[in-house]
Amino acid sequence: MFFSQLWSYLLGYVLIAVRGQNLERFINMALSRGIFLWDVTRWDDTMIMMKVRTSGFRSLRYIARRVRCRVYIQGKFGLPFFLHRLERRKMLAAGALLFAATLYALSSFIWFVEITGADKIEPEKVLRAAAKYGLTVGVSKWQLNKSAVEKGIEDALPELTFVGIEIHGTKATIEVVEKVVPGDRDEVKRPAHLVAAKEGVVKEILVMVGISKVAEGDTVRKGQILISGIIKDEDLNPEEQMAEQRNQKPRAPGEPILVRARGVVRARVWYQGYGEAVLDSFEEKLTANRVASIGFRVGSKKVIVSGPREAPFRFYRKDIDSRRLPEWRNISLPVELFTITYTRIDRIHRHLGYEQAVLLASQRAMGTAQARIPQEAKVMSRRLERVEAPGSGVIRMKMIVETVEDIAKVQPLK
Amino acid sequence: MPVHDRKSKIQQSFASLLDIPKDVMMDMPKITIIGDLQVFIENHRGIVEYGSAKVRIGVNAGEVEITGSDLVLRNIYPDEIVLDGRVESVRWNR
Repeated sequence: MFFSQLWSYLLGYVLIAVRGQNLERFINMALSRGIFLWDVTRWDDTMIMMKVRTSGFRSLRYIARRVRCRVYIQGKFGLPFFLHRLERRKMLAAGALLFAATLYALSSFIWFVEITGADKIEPEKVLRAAAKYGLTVGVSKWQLNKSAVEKGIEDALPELTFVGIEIHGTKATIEVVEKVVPGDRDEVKRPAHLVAAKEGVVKEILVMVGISKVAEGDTVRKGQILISGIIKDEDLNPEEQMAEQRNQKPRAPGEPILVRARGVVRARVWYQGYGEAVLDSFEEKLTANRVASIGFRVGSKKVIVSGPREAPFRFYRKDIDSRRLPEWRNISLPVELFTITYTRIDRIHRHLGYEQAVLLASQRAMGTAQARIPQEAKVMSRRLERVEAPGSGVIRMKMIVETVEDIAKVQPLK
Repeated sequence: MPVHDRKSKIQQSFASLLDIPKDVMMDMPKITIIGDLQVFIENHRGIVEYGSAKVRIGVNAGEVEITGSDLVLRNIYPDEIVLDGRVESVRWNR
């Protein structure tokens, strides 16, 4: 419908009025000659209006003579007529062309420069820097070297960490990211405990600030306080109490002093790893030995035309490729053509010796244990254990690794 | 029974047996009506009468008569006609 109209426009069409007696016959004759008519409207008893392509108009004259009616052209439409009219109005065409050219030319300049992300720095400063490196209002897009301008602004304004320029049409957007000057880190001065990051047995403890809550040889749970940042009066010996009263601003009696605990707590930590290896295993491997059988299916009945009915191998893979006839309208035929391909599979029996299985399981156990141990931990000992599971054909190994490491973790006081 | 009738009966039963659309098998017109706005006739045999209030279109076994107001033949192709306007009735004349 749309394409037919577009085609009519490209070829040119005319609106005609046909006056006469037997107008239905006129339409039918046009039809039988393959002339395409549209928008046929009854005007009055003796006249109808219709549209026809210029290519069909010539033959219509002949038909009109035969049917004895008269054809009047009421209007001419479409590209050929438009071009013809344009030919007589050369200045109009030139103007239209000039307009298009001007629009294109103007759209290749930058007319707007915008800045986003400038909170502290004045946008004028960025604009001035951009202008210095070639990005101002009125500069042409093909002369602009985006990366050079970005680099230039970044160098000129050290308070920026990132400058990005994006151009959309005639608008350039400069996106800047300001450097954040780090504030004084009171984070590292706030009172805090040192707590255990993991379970272990304390081996040595060195307190620099705070009160130790565990002794050497103690077993600690994860999250247990090792060195407390809360110092109460009874924790201090008399000398210290005296010094404290002299130094500090006065505080209410019984109110604890809050400090940031510092120190080293080294502890023995154990890690476990587990690995297993199968003594007998089967590996499946596809071979090039394959047999295809072809057949068809009608309804639920299966007929094999060529090839074996059953799989000719003990271990095999079965691939079915079935085709149906294409559906036509709502009719689908219940016939299906299929090809079954059997590919032989070789099963390779693999037997690991006892020693070899133990070795493999141990390696795996060690791998899993090693993955849990942090880099800075010092390994003290490794112990391998066989996990007994009789009659399963699987060797299971456990590895226990003992390390010594600093388990203290800072936990800020609430 | 006239020969023509018998032939069409055989055609009909054959068409229903094979589930073939009847318009294809028996050269019948296929008429689609969209609300009261448009009538679409495939497989026609030419225009018998055309007026803004009444249109008669020849088909294989008779005529289709459409009445209404402001009827306009939107498109005319050798095998299909699109009729626009306010449709009041679509009638079959034998």
